[in-house]
Amino acid sequence: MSTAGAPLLTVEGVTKRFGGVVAVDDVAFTVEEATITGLVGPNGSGKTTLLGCLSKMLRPTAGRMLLRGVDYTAEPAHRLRRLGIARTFQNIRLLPGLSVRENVTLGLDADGVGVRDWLRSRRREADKRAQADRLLDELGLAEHADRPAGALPYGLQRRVEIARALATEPSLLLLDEPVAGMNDAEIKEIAAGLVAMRRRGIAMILVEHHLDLVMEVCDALVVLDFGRVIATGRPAEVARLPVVREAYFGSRHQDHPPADAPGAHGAHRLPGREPAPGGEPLPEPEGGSHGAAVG
Amino acid sequence: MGWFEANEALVQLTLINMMLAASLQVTLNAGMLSLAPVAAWGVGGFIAANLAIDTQLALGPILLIVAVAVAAGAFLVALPILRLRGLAFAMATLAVLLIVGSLSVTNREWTGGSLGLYGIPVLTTTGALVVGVVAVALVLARIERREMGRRVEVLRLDEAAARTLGVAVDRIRLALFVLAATIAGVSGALSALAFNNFSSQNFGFDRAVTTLAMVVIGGTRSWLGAFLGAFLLTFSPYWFDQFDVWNKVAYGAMMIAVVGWFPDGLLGLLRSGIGRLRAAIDRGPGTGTGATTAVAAGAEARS
Repeated sequence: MSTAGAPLLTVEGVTKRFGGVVAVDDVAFTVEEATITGLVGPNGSGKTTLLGCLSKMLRPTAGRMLLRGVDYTAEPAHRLRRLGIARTFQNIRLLPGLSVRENVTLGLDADGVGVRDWLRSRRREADKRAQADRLLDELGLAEHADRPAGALPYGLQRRVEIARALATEPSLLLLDEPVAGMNDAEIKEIAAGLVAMRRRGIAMILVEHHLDLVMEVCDALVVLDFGRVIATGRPAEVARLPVVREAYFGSRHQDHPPADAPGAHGAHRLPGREPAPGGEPLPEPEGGSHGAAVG
Repeated sequence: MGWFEANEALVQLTLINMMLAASLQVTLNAGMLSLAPVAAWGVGGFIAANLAIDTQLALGPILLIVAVAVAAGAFLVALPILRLRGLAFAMATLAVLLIVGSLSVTNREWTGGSLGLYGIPVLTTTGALVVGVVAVALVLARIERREMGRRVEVLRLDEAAARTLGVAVDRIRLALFVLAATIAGVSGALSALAFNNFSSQNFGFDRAVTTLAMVVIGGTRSWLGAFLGAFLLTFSPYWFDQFDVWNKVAYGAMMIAVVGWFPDGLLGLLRSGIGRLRAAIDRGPGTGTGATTAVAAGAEARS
């Protein structure tokens, strides 16, 4: 099925309009296998909308999305799991009344509703339980397996959501603000988790306002402003671009009322940030040219 | 003449209501408040009544024909209305009920008009009803457990999350909608063939509200709740007779109490009570925070 040599994800001219508002405007970039791509930009720049299109929660108004060269733009959202695309949500979406283990098992349930699947579910259940426990163990959640997900602290719930997404065995994981509302220790843990997933061959798109995390773990950045891609490339290079600095604290953003300002949360971080002494903070995956090319 | 012979009609009505309540519960548990099964109940009843009057068919074949016909009808009705969600969906199913009710009054030769059909051959036995109720329980218990149970749960609570997890939301909603109609249709057929008469009065808005009350009082989260509610509310009007003129008030007070304090119905109350008890026994006295351990126990019981 897949086209040899094609990038894991190719986004071509994706546009999303809501009435007269163009939330995502002719966006194009690529994501290579086993890399982390940061999707950043001021608030309202279209990051979450773009993530919605990529996960088919929203239908793009125009453009194409290809996974390993295969166009999936017309697939229904629930088919994406089988293609290998998983996502987490900005607001955690676990089933609070079910146990942590059951929440993760939900990620293991195949999408068939055939009568035969259904009749055989008893035998598969034991396998799934073992598989879920293995995942929980890996993510340091084993001791919470039997607790209702809703009773866990926020940081752990995020991890359960990531475990559930991992259970679907994705090759591309879309993460919408995975560290929102977390303290520094929790952020460190998530960062280590993301790097570990990359080592296992999972590519990620990371929408995140916490720019320290973005700069630390990402292999490539895609910067959005007013729905358009204004820069792509390696994090350290992108952060120095004048057009990026302007988007974050440029003159046209100063007119905005304070309510619109959470994007400025990042503004005081990004320009001051220099590459860590000794080069990149993390070992780059081999292969070099994972910087995204804009068409 | 024992108690059973004297009360056979009440027993049969209870079994019929258990099936009807279960049909509302199976959609409600997936987040769809649908009154359409009550319409299917009426359609199933009229098909069965006409078949019994005009042909020599036995109960089995009649029920089979009803099941297929009602399922096909539900499929066609589902195509437009399953696009809707929430209140709009509920109102659409109410519209289905009103349309079917009105058609059944106007098509006199087929339904007997507002008087209904009389002299329907009695083919339903209590044994057949018990078999029906057990079959419904087996199918619904299967749906509630394991992967299908988890799918339905995530579908009810969060459709977007369900889709990202690969749950074929539209297919499951359609399957449950059709299943509910089929169960209700068979229940209606059994009813028409049990009591000698059948009319559109039997499945009006009142019937829909009463049946919904059974599910809400018993518990919307399980077929067992629907059965419990149907049992209580079919028998309770007789129990509430001791309140004399106040019986409707007592009845209403019970409903308010359940909806206000026990959102998971009497079944939820029973389960959390059992869960708390079990947790107390497991951990010894003094430990265990009631609510969470009860939820954990409930989650265990489901898996």
